[in-house]
Amino acid sequence: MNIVKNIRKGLFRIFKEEEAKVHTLRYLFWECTLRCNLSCIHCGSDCKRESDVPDMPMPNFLRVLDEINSQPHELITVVITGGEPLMRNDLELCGKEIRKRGFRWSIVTNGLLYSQERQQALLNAGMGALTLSFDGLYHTHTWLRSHKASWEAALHAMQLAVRVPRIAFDVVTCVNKKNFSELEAIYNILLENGVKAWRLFTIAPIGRAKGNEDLHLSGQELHMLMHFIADKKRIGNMNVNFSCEGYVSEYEENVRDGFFFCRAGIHIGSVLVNGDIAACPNIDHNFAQGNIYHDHFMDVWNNRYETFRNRKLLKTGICEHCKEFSFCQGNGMHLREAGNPDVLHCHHQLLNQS
Amino acid sequence: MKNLYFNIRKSFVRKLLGFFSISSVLFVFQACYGTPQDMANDVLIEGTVKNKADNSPIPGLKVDVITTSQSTFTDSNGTFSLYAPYNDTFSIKFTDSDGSANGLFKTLDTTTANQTHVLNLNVLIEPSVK
Repeated sequence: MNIVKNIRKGLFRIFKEEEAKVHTLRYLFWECTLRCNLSCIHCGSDCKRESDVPDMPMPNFLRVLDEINSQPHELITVVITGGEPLMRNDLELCGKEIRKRGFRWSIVTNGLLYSQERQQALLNAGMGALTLSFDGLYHTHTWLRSHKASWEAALHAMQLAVRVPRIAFDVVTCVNKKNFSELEAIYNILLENGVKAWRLFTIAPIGRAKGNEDLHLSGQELHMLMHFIADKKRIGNMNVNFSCEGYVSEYEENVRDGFFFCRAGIHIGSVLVNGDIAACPNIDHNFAQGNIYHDHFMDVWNNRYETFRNRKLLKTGICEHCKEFSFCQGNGMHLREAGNPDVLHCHHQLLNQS
Repeated sequence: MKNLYFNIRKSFVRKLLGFFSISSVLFVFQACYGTPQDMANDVLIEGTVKNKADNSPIPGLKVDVITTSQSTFTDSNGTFSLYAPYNDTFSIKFTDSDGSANGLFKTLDTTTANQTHVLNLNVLIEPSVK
């Protein structure tokens, strides 16, 4: 059985290399604002930035889409993120203009501003997918999100979203030491409310989460999390997955619908609020590849992103002699810092230490 | 020609590799901090609503897409637009919801066949005598 799995892993490795060569854009983040109505203690956004960084004006982003229009783009999803995208009063207008250009669009939200009326307006504007953060029972969620009304608002948003079959909807949970014991209870809440898909993260040591030990799982806890996800996947009541944040060695395929593949810069690009052209928004901004105010987006997409597409360049530091590197390829790019040879967090190492 | 052959062969090899690795996340995926990908079909329903008596646009009229339980209102030019999940037919109801503010109009129920991704409707509504 292991031989078959290893052959498939090997084929998937070659597949990844081929995809990196072709690098078709399929997923575009738009960091439309850095304004947020919460102050989450684990926020991965660059917390050194002032909160009064202006939102990106809609026409500036639409110009980028017009540059991408030269290639087939009907299956490209524009993921509007922030900050909190619902803070923008023109979000529906932005969404409609994005959809009119043939792109699909979606949002990632904390749910605090999500209402029946807002959902109707978002649907009318062509929103096709939604991801909602739900991080535990009342006390742990409100602790993480630093807002007393955040839990009920998230629950309400969940109950609204599940009623609409048009929306490809999932819930994400940032697993940490405090909500670790609540996973079964969270699962039951989601199940009772009709949620079909749940993605679990661990918290990366970046942004505000750096150095906060309450937020990071031990190796043993990570093992238990992998078993929890694998069990729930086997039961099949809900599509439960570990996020694509990192390579988890022997648990690969048991906790996700496929093998680990960090697609940042290969299928995923982003436009940050200051115009930077990057891969995922939570990746070290020193990896930005250009800026929409100086560069043509497709020129950048077609000709740069070398570190993202040639992951052998990441075979440094603790990765240099790692036997798993050919499958892992240096872990998720959000766990790398420009100029630092070491990966910030290695799931494989953490699992093997315990 | 050579390039075309090369691209077709390359695409075939990629799909073959993906197929034999039996991974269900080849091309449909989500970024770790992103959303699911939207793969559904939808239709842009748009149009203008005018007064049958004098051809003037009617603002503030409620447009209910009964088929999908969605609704919107006409703007000051009598135009409206919304995206709805794809259907072969749409039942749409136009209702005067603002009383006499923009004139009084009769309710209109329509059923429209659809075969495209843009459904354009130009609707005339009779004034209500009440």
